[in-house]
Amino acid sequence: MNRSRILLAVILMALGAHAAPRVGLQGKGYCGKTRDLAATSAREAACAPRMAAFAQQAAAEDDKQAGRRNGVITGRVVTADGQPLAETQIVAFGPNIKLGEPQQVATDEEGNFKLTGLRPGVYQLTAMMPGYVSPRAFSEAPMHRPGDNVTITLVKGGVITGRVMDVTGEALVGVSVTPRRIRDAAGHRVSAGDWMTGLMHSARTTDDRGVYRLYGLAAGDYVVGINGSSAPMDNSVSIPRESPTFHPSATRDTAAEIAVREGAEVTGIDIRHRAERGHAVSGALSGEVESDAIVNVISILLRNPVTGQVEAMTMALGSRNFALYGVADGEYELIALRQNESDDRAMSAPRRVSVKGADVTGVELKLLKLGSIAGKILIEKAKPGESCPPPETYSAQEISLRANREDQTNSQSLPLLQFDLGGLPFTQPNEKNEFTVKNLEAGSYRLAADLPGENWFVRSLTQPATQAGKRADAARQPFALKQGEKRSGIELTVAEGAAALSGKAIAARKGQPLRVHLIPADAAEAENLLRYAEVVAEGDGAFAFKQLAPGKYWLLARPAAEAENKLPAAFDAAERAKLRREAEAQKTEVTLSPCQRAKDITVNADLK
Amino acid sequence: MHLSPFVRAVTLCVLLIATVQAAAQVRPPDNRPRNSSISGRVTVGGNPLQNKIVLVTEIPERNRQEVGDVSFSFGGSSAASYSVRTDADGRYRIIGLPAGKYEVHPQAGAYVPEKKSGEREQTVTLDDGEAKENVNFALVRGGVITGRVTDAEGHPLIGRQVEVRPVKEPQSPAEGGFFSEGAETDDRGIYRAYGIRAGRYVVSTSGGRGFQAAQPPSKYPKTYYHNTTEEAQARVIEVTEGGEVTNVDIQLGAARKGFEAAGRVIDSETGQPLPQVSLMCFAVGSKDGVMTGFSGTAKSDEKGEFHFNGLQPGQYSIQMTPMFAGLTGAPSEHYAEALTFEVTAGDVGGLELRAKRGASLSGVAVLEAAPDQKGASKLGQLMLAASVMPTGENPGEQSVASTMSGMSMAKLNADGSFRITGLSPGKALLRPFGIGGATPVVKRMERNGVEMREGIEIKAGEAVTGVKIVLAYANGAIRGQVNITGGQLPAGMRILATAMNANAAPTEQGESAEVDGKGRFLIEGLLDGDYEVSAQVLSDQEGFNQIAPARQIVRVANGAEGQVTLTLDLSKKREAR
Repeated sequence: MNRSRILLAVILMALGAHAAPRVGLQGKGYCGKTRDLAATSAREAACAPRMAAFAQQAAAEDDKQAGRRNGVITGRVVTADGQPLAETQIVAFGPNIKLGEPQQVATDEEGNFKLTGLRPGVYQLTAMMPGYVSPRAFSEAPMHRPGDNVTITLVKGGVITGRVMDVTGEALVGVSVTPRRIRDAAGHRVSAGDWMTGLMHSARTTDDRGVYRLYGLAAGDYVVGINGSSAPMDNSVSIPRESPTFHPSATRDTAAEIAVREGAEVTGIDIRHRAERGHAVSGALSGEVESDAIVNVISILLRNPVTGQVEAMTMALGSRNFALYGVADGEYELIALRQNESDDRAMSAPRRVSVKGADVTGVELKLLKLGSIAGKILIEKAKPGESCPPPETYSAQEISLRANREDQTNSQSLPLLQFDLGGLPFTQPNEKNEFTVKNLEAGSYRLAADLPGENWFVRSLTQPATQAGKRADAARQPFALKQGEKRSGIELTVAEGAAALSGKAIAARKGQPLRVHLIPADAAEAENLLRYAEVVAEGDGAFAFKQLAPGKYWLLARPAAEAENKLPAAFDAAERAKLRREAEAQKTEVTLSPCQRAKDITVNADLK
Repeated sequence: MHLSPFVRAVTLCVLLIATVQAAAQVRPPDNRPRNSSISGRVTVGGNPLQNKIVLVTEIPERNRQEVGDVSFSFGGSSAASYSVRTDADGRYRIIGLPAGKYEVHPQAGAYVPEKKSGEREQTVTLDDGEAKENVNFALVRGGVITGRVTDAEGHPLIGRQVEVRPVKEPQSPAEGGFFSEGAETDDRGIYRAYGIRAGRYVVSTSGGRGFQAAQPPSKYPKTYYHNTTEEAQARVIEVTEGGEVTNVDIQLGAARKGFEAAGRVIDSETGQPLPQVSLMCFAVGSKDGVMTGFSGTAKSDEKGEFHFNGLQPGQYSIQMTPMFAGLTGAPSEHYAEALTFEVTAGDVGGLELRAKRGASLSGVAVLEAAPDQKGASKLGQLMLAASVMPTGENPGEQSVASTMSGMSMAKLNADGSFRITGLSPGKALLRPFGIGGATPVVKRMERNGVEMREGIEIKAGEAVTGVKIVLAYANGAIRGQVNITGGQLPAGMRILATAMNANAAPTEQGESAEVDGKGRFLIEGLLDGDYEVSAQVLSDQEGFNQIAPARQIVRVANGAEGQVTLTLDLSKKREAR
């Protein structure tokens, strides 16, 4: 199998298993002149710690521009109390990062890092340090661009520990114990992608006493179990074809939940193995199994139809058959997802499966093409002499776009594409400013653009109208995509001259959390959703809006509701009308001229 | 919506391994009769070990991919496995097994074989209808070593690998060296290594974190218990049967400061900087230049500049990494020889990696496939990899620089056309690979209609056109039996069977398979043709390393199986060269 040998050789080379010759020049510790140090620097200065220097440099705008030109993102990783974290792995993700070209660096002793050689575009960064977690969900990782200086804060993870015993009470040695986070600290369900990360990151095996210790856990509610039909990711003992046992000695449905707080330890979470034979769920794949890509990986996921949580998965590689073993009795949904190196996915519709005391065979999963939204970004330059200071020279390639699903039929359910193996949740335009947001299931989506800098705002979002040659607004209603539908001809117009606004919201009751709404005061803009914005005020009431279209606005502060998983109020026509009525009555009005940075605006929450 | 870096890293890993494993995935339905069984007993100090799982895993004939001494297997999903629990008397029996080769493995991690030479798992070859009995495991409770790993300030070091290695005993040279046990520290810095055979051990850690993509080298010097960086000064720990040694704590010295190596990639002819070049940095041995560690990846920026951080004093090698480029984007037009440098006590600047515009190979690949070929790949789903051997080098002695700079690949277009760029001069061999279907092999290589059996000669920067690659499916196989005369082979000694095409170029190594305990072998992946099949004892032991291999010519026709019986005479010595 020669082809395998080549690949293996490549892997081995990457792992350093071959001999290296000795050619080329000898560095001998010579410190040459580099671009970011003055030419007058002595040789000793060139050898001085440079990382500390670039933390300062990055503060200056000149350096930000230099960083942008050179494709550099700098930053620092600290703990919640400000201590630097050394040896932390930083990984960058973005549409420009190709498979096999990981952008990964480690922090130095001062917690500093520097990613170089980045093409213009948008990136998300993740920091990995054993025992520590990001207090923020992966889904909330901010967008960064070359030139940015980023501070990443990690907190000490929680711990769950206990003992695993067999039916006779004897220690089970070397079994893998897996934490599954079901809700985050705020009580929101976590995405399947986060679930998978936790699974691979946090599973640990029991020792010779049956003791396990799960650490580095993000705060939230967990169930903890052993075994499962997912392929083991480590060399742990496999107990084939038995269904998983959860703490204390339960099936998934009756598993006890464990609340883990930041940095806290929960002990005595023992698991008594049930040794219950599970069942097999097997079947065949059809439809869009193959693609023009070289590497097609099809994941078959078994999930809870109510919560949407993935309970088990397997992968089919070059096979049209699949089987999951050790499935406990219950109701499930099976879904197949095809992925490949060109990020061209296909997905099956969820298929209901009922396991009741016997194997389930012959389940057919038909893979279907996914939809997309494509279009172009138009940049409107400011008239000469009217551009905002300081000058910015961003390109359209630094705009990121994503399609946010709006029609979650079941609010508990999670969109499957959150179960993400190597794909990206956002896209960026190509050199011709054309974009395609792909891999969209049937449903309603709103296109969201993340703009760099301060001087741009989204002027309009349009689509071809039914009448030839005309264009219609595409911001008011979400895009309703049918299965496999490819929507095109969208135009997103970005203009220079954006205004910004900041101030303070004053609550009727001290400490009451507030949400500040920005509403276009001009009646002609009443239905222009791009003019509406909302933000949750900081603890002291401070709020800020940026990248605003110049014009006249009303500000309105409302108590922030407890459940904050909702869509913006302006998306709903009735809510929008209500916002306008309240804002008009309250009359906190502000007129923003192009490039204006309005500050210290005060808005009072309605006393009613 | 978001992906996680772990998931992405694992995807890459899965994709790579999947590529390696592809052949194992396309298997005919298993219609073999299931008449065989394995049974035995698991005991601890003579008493039954009950309610423990015994795992029996089939070792598929085709599932082993060997490169040198490394063999890969993953997940076990493609291999059939069977499990059963031991009864109150410690006995187990697994029935309904088809004939084949199996690994029997009791899942009893806290226990170790009673005998010093005992194995944790045993390999069994079953004939159809055979009931193999007494596959027994006599175990004793293993020992435990536990302790805590901290940094110079006493803070716990989390998720670090701790190595437990047997002391090399002068009286038993086989012990020590290769075999080692390990454990990982938890969030308190505590590790617990268990299932250790009674004996004398040294415990060490260098603060490494185990395997992770692009993991940088540790900043700590390797430290032995009790707090010494000298192996000779390490305190030896005596582990008794079932005994527990506690407080084996290690405090690592101050983290060493890492240095930066900076430089740029330039076109050696024009002197122009080359942006977006992917580079890898490896630590290499100062004497022999052998790679000893992976130090990171970097990419040149718009000015062609690159940086590697966190380097400890030592010898390093920076190389271009073109291998994935063809898979995910435009392949590089350049290649470069490795750049070796040394870090002593400071940052290194002014490095220059001089890349040369490479040669290119273009042409067309055609596929000779029977219309009923199951799971055949489409041409557009294949990659074509070119490996270039510099003129005057032998395949065995190929240096890494030439291997790395001499590797390039490109995706085949749907019509079979291809263009591979960034090649160094030398003799190029082309090989297809793909996944998700059966992958063909190269049957014939031509340039302008002339067969190029030993590879295509390419000059520096040359644009070679008119290459034709004929691909075919290697469905043929040779099944054989090796009978031994003239003595007896000691237990544990292996025999390798190799099939070499009679018309093969001297550079080819042929296809091989290991001969099982019953003298049988199956060599797969052969094209039609005449093969010289040889059976040879694998040993460096005096008296066995000079045994002459048994040889015979076998014909494989129409993708069918050829049959052969070889007689290996242990008394017959290889002719002196």
